[in-house]
Amino acid sequence: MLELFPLIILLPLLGAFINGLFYRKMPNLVAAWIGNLAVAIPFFITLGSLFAYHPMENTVPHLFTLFEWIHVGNFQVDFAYQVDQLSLYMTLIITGIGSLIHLYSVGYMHGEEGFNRFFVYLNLFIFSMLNLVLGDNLVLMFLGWEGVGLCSYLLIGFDYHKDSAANAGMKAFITNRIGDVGFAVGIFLTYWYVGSVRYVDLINALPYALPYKEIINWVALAFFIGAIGKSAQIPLYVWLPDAMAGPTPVSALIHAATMVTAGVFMIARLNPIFYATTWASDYIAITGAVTALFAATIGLQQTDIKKVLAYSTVSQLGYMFLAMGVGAYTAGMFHLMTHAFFKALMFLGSGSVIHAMHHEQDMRNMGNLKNYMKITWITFMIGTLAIAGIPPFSGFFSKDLILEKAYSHHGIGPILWGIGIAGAFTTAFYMFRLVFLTFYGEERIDVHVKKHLHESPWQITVPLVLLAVGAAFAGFLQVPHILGGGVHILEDFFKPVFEQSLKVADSWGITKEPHVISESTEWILLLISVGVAGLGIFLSYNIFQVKKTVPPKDEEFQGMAKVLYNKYYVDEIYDSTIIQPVMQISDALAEDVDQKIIDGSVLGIGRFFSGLSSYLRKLQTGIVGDYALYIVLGAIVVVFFLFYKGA
Amino acid sequence: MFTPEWKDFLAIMPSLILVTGGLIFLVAQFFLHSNDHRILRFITGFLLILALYYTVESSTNPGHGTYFSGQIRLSSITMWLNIIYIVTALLTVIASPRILSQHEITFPEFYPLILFAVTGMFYMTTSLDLVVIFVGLELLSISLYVLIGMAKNEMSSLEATLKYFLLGAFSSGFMLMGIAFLYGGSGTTNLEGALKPLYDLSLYTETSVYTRIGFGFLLVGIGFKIALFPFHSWTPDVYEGALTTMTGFMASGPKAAAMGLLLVLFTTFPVIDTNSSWTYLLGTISILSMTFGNILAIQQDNLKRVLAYSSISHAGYVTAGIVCGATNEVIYYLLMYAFMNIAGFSIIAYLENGKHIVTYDSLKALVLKKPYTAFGLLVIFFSLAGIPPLGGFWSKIFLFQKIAESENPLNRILLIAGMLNSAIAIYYYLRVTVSAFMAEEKGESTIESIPMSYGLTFSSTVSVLFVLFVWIFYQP
Amino acid sequence: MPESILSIIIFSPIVGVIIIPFLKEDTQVKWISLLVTFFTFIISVPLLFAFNVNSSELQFIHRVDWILKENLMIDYYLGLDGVALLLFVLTSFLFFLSSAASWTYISKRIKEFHISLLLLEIGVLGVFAAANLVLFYVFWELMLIPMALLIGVWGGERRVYAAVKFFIYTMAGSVLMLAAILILYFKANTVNIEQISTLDLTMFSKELQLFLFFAFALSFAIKIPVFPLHTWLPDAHTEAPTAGSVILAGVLLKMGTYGFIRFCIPFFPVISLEYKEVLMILSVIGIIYGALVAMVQSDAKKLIAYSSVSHLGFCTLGLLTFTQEGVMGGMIQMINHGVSTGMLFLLIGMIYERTHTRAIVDYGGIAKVVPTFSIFFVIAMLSSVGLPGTNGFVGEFLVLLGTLKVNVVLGIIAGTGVIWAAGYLLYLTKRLLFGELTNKENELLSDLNTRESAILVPLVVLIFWLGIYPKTFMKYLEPSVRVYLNSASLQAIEERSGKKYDPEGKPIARNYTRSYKSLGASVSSIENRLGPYLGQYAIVNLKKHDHTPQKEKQEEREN
Repeated sequence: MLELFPLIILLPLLGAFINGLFYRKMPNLVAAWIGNLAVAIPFFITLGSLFAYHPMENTVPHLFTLFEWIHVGNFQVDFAYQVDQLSLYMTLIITGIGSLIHLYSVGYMHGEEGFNRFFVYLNLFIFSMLNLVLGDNLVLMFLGWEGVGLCSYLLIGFDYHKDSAANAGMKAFITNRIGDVGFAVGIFLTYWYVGSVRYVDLINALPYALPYKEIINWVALAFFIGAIGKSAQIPLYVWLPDAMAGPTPVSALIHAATMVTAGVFMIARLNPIFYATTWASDYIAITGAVTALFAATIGLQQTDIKKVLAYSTVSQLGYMFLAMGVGAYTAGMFHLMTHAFFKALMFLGSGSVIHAMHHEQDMRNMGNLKNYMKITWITFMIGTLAIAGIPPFSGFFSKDLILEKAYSHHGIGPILWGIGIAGAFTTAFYMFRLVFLTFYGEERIDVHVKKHLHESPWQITVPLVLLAVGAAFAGFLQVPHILGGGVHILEDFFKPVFEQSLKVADSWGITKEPHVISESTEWILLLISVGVAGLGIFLSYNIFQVKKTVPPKDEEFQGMAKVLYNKYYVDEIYDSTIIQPVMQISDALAEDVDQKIIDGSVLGIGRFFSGLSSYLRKLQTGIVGDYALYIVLGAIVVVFFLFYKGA
Repeated sequence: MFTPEWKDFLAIMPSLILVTGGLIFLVAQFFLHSNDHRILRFITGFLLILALYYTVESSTNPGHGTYFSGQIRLSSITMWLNIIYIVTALLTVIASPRILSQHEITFPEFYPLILFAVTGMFYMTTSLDLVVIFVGLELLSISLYVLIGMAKNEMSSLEATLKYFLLGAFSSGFMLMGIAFLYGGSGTTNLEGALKPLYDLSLYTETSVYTRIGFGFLLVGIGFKIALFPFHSWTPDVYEGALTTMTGFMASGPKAAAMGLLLVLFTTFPVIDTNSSWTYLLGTISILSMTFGNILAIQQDNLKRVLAYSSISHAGYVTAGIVCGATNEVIYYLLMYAFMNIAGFSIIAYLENGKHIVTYDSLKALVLKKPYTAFGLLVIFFSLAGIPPLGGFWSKIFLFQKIAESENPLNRILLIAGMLNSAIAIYYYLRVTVSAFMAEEKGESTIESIPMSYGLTFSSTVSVLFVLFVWIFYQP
Repeated sequence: MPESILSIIIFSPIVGVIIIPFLKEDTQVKWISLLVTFFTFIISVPLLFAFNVNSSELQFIHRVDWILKENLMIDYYLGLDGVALLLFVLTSFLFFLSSAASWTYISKRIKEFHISLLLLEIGVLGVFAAANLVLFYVFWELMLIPMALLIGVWGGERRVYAAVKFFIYTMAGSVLMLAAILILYFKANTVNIEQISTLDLTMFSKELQLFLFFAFALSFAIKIPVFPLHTWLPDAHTEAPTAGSVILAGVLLKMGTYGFIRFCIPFFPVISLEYKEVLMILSVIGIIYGALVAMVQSDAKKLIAYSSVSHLGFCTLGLLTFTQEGVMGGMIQMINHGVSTGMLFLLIGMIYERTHTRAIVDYGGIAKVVPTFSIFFVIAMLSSVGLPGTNGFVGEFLVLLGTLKVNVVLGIIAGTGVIWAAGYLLYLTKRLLFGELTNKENELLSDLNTRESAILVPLVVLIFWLGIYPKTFMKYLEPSVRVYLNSASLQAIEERSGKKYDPEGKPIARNYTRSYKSLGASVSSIENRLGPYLGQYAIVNLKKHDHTPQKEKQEEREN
């Protein structure tokens, strides 16, 4: 099965290519089929190769090269791919959830103009994403990295005739670019220190990197800047909420399940580097924790159903980075997967709602939808419970694992844990706020919309159900041993990959083993996290279900609520402190420096000569006497010169 | 007692032909009263060609060397110079009739005077005796005075000739004084002998001071003829006033002669020592001339004046070359430059059509109506600017290459100065192309339909072709 | 392949120049020009296959003793090395496209236009093929006149100003170059590029080297253009007709960088190594400055012109890193810029033909009306942004890689240029194509016709080819890179220092500078090549440090 692996990468590209070439003439149905198959087939191949690879025993990655790319001196980069536990795991998520969302899109985009174009972009995205996770070297990952950025740019701006969409796309791309520069610098540094950009060489070289103990932090930081951009962490998260301008399937696939987790994946892939750092990893953990709480608080007051989900995505990604920061890579990847399930589920659910309500996204105009769309409601409930961290849903296990690891982290561990708990509480609260406002309470629905309010077609509901299953049960891959003996499939699965970091640390003679915590402490932690979740749910039940509170109109927000509703005014601050100044500087450069100073001085030379010319002209009086005078003067000079200076 | 032999006469055969021809004309016109000068023209042409033949011939028979007991010297330099004179004269003769008729000039003396002028130039550069040189120079000057003043009924022409006459006489005075001093310094009027005290320190006596002063005056005189700064001031006015073809003649032939004279002076020195004071003097003068000429040209609109100033700057280049000991390169430059001038002025003569002044504005959009003329102008002006692959570029590169061939700071300075100057010069040379090709509205020369003249067309075409292609086959 | 193949290619446009004046109909003129340029392109393609990529010496040499003079020996000497070959073919290719692109764009004085175009082609081709300095200079100046005419006659409103500016700027630079050439000739007694690259440097005093280097550098810097000598470019680009802009961006600017590769650095390695920081800083300023200024332009063509300043900054930066990666990147970037920016100018020109405005505000939301145009535009834009998979990425990535090696700070600053590039290009795209269709006049725009698409498709192919399988092109550049790096190496400098014996008294073997060919020897590590010149900011590979991991050390201690 592994020998079929190239197909996994090539099929989506092929799909995009065919659809792209004939996107004008191609009937929608055909385009849909091509698009779906181009992702579905790879999914099954991946499944097959997962078993063919024997992830539990096999420790050596399966490498294969398609063709060479850039060869200059020692800089040898090929279109070469690395199949191991990590990349298989990601590929499964991407192709699996990807194909579900492709199917979903058929229903969601039905009848929209640019239906074919949509599938071109989606396939292109899958292709780039697969390059990102499967590449055997950093540069190929960078190709995927920017490729997905491009697709997200194109998909956010899918309705390019809307100014908002076009701007959001631009914002996303440029913000990502900032991160990408960090990533690129990371690659450069790695290359110049190690002499190669292939993971294999990198890991082999790291044991020798002890003299560079300090620099490693900077390398890690450079990479992390890339991650910040792509995975929407503070301070570069601002693009993600705007990205909701794109069609909902896009939000589900790119801005929830796959692309935004690329940063997490990158850290997992480069875990030896990050594990070896002295302070960088802590920085990552803090960023993650803070983001988790920060975004959650914003989520409290949003009224746009997708905006809420967007901020919850940012916040959940924060948890993943928290895990990566404290060296709990398995936990991070675990949460990545569960999050992919429940967040995709919720986005698609919200999409189903929006679809049914004719592109109404404001929760203030919803309510009591449970009577109209059962499947959507139930599946959405499952997702919400999962994200809130209610056992036995998947979110509970992954989030609990992260919090536990955070707590047991050296030094700042407990603080991180505290922030995380606060985040968990907030999450539970605003997610149920969303649920109550949307599916419960009295109807605030526009009458015209209400006339044909109905459950969505099967292409939409089937993915919902399937994802709900995942969101419900995916957690049992990794169960803490205090509950029922404990299952650690994932831990064993990822062992070969994450052991590398331990090896390196070992060869350096440093240890980062988290201090062991007693069962009782574990119980306490677990209960607290469930408790706060319950509390959050209870509160929001009180406020929104019992008291039937509804968010006020935009202008009526007061005090803190207003600040939160306006996202702490971060966009405004960026605009006034960065964008405007840059524009002013550019203006100054263009107007004054370029035109006046530089060009002016150049033209000045010309003016000088013509001025001199018109001045000297006065010598040419046309009067013979003057001319004779010049001659005499000249003659005198000449003669006296020769007379005195001699030959 | 020296008795000339046949080979001595052979050596000066060209001049003999021209002089006799000229005299016969002068006499002849008393008894053939026809305003039809075609015959005269043809005979003149024939004489010039004959002279040309003998000039070339003289390099083999009697061959290079000195004749008339060291008064005449034939060398490859003199031969080439003579060729330049004769060719320019020939082209001028061919080009002129149209303009003469336009100015209602019936002036049969035109042709003999040209011949005399050529003879004068011939002696200026071929002779080794200061007196003969002076005679030649005066012969040239006098004929020029008349030729410039041909258009009796036009103020500008008369004013020009008067200016030229007064200043010319003035400078001849300097020259004569110089010769006198030189004689005083050395006791001989033979060029080599007279200049020896300048470099031969064995002869150093208190009298050699006279030599230096004399040499200075001599330089002034020559500088006037070459139109070097600060003896240049007559050039623009005279060039503007004279009939355009005559201007072309002046700017090529006599200029070449004067520079040739300078060249001859320098070739008499056994070795050019680039550190002696007078090289520095001339170097400075040349730099001043090129800069001054170029800068003044920038503000001119009248094409004749522009070319006048540009001729000053070109004089600067050539002098720089002479100072640095270039010989063949100088000749090559002069040849190219002669052709460029003939072509340039012929085209201007054609455009002004006997009436108005040709300015940049009057050339606007010329290419639309008179593409070939416009193209000719483009070639000539870019060639003057020294843009490859035109002749002007090659003559320049050879000259400057010679200048570059030394560690001497003076040479370096001259090189850089020359280069920077050609950069400045671009501006006003370019203006012709700009107005002729890039302008939208049409200038008067463009609108007016000018009958074509075979003479002008021939002379300009020949010269343009020369500038365009000859460098491929012929280099110094 | 005949010995005179290069001459045939270079002068084949003459045929058109001779025929065109005698044609009556404009269509005939267009066809002839198209055919001639096409023919030139076609016969220049076989060079790619005939070129021996393993040899660094000049190939397809055509040499005729021409001006034989005891004191100025210029021979007619043509030859191509890798980088010159690519630029040569690119030139013939772009000229073919430009001729096609002018089909309807040029409405007045079509004859003269195509004549100038063909003359220009001769000049540019000659510049890349010339193998002696005088010949190079001749072609270099030869292309001035037709280019000035293209801008000045068929340009926009301020065309005359732009043309004069262009002409004088370039001229001012090149006169000093001529002076340098002459002095060089006097000293070295040859104008042959190969010989000068290997002869002893002792014959030049340090000051003289300095002067000569900067005399050359100035003229090339103006051409590239390096900040702050760039102000002629926006005017020239903006006013020039499409064909003019395409050629200007596509190949004329490359003549500058090419000059650096071919003359400045190999001739005077010492100076170029000593002053490389200055030039690097200038390039970095150029990158950022060009991008920032581009961001606020209201004229589409001017915006792209400034983006050229930024992109060319990458070229020079890469070349001056003297790392294999950087230099290769710089060279590839030259080709890339030719393709991407050339394509952008073509596109702007095509839409300009329809709307007759270059002001960005007059557009907006036209993607709906002209989808095909928009697709092409977005592709060109992305390649200019340097998206992986397109040509732009390969060049910029390598350049930045090289820069970071020699100076981390400069590398990072230059790296931010990528962000700005994304900024102004996406902003431009958004204002042109996306958003509401504001300008009512644009609702009736016709999409690209077959001819126009046919012009663009090959460029798109090139963009992805260069981006995905650059090996095809890099293999031509490799020998040039080796020559470039070796000629600027301590070893070469040592060998050219005139010393016969090294301190130990062993005779210095001329491994590199025996001949131009031997300069193409395999390249040693940058530390060996540059030594002290590398500077203290350079990154040191960790292999250079002690290799044994901590653990083994401990064991050693225990034993």
